Amino acid sequence: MPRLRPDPVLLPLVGALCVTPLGFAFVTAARNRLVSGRPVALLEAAEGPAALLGLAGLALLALAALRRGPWLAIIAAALLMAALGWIAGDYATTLSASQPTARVSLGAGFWLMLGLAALCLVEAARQTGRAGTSLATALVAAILALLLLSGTLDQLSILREYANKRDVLGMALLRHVEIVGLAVLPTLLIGIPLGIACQRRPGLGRLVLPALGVVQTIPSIALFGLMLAPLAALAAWQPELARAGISGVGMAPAVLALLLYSLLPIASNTAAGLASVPEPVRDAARGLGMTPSQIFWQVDLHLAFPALLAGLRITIVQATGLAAVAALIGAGGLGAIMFDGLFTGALDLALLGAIPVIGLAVLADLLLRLASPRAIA
Amino acid sequence: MIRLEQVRRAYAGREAVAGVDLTVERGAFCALIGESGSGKSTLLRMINRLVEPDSGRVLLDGEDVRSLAPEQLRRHIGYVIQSVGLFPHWTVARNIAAVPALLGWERPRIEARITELMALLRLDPRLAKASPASLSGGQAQRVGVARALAADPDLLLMDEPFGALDPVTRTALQTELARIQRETGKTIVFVTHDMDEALRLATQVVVLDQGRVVQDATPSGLLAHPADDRVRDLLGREDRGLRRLALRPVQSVMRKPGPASAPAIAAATDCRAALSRMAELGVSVLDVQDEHGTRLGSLHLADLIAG
Repeated sequence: MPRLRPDPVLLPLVGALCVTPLGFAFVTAARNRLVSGRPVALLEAAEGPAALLGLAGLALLALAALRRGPWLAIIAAALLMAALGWIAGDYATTLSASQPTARVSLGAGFWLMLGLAALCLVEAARQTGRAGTSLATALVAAILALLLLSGTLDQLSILREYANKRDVLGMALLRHVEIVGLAVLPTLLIGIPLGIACQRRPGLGRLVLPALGVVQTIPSIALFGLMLAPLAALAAWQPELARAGISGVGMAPAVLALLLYSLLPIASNTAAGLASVPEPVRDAARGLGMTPSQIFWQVDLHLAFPALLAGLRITIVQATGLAAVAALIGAGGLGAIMFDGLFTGALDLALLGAIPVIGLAVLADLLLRLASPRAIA
Repeated sequence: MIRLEQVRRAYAGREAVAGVDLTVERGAFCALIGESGSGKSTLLRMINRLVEPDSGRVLLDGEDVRSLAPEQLRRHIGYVIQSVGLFPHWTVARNIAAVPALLGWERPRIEARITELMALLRLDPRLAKASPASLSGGQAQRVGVARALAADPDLLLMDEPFGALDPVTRTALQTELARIQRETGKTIVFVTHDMDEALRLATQVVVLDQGRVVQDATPSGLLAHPADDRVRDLLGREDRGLRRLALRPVQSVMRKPGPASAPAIAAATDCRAALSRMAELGVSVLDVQDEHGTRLGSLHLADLIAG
């Protein structure tokens, strides 16, 4: 028998995976979408081939953890994740066949186990390097697509909410992107010149950047609230503006508040990027006979660009999250679905609003990371 | 020819340059030497208008530098600094091409010039596409010098160009610079605080102290007649004799080849190295030979010391 070499990270995770079903409900089953459900343990929900797959996944993962087999661990963790989805979906399908209004929601046990399996996957992928990371990403995408397209998950409460709200969700997503876009574009137009000015005139920088920092500390709800009165007054004073859609509630205050939040990361990162240009490089540029505008466009801006892009990334991710809160002042977007679910007690509806917000933020972050030039080093 | 007339420049009430008159002839290799704060860098930067004098004039070939836009002026003067300041986001080739690109040269001409300069500075042609971050300190400064020479300026300004390099690399680059100056006949003004470097490379040594010229002389003139104690300190009181020997090639003091074959020494050696060799071997006569081993003459200890 080969020698055991327990993996110090995977083994505790597998242990946690084994005990989680004992303490937490895997799913909850309710008579309809608004009442709270009855907890259902994993052992009660699991049956048939899905249960066998889960058992196999867990066993293989344990083996991989004991023998240091990161490739096996990737496959086993993926199998386990697939089995978790399958078990929950199967249980929902079976239950709704006998009780059409019954709702099966994913419970703490499901999320915990999914999270632990995902951690195993990430750790194993880290150990195998680039190829393993690609394999893990591909497996997760394939499993998710398979579960969704095969209809296995269709009877889960969150997907039934999705089936009801499909059109609304699409509109909300577009609206969300619109709010973020409308806030970020003017932020760039104002924030970048402001950052340049702050770097050129340190006196101005010492004044403006801390002021923008104070704006960041204002809770988002409060800032949205603060926008109500002046914009309502503005609309009352100039009816043309009101006809153009400016009012105390809706898009206008949301966009304005997001713009104020977004100025700090853009302006301060622009200033920091410019300040990071080495003085000898500027000295040499002057000494070779570059004009101030050539130095700015050919040297400063290029060297400040990575910092600027990082600022843009922070801004978009932050604005995507904050835009959800803007639903409270009637701006619409994914936040509207989220709060709809929260206020009516339909938590799966809230989840349906929240997941795309996270997805958007992660996607924006990923795209901007890919776009940023490799660090100059 | 460069003429500085009564130039002054003060920073926060302290005079960095306090009324300097200086002439550097065409083709000269002028070293500005002094301690930190002596005003040598400020003086250098006045020539390409990186620093504007509070009063006085700077003339290049009889023309006031203020008659040209500073950028136009600088594009025709090479500029090298201690920290090199290569553009980190550009390749080596594009760094070298910086000034020709500013001057709007045609692409083929720029390409040819890059190849020519990389050969002159003995840079591996494969480095053309490299990023400055991947270069060693010595390579980076070679690129810095190539960039300064790119538009073939008549005048090269260098601010402690080798100060940040290790001694071996520094000596190698000093040799290159001496060779390039011989081959191209450029006028070079060079700031340093290293007296050996100044004596080795320069034809004119200008000693500065607190913004004033203390002495302006040839290297041998400086060694023979230091103007005051500050210059003597810079020259190193114990080493002066040896430094004078270092300025002299052995060929200038050797006699006709003698009959007895003594230990050999290369004709390109200076008298200080020859003296060191005699001390090492415990002999008082050396045989001077060229690179083919032909005996050119014999070197006697008495002649070395008599100078």
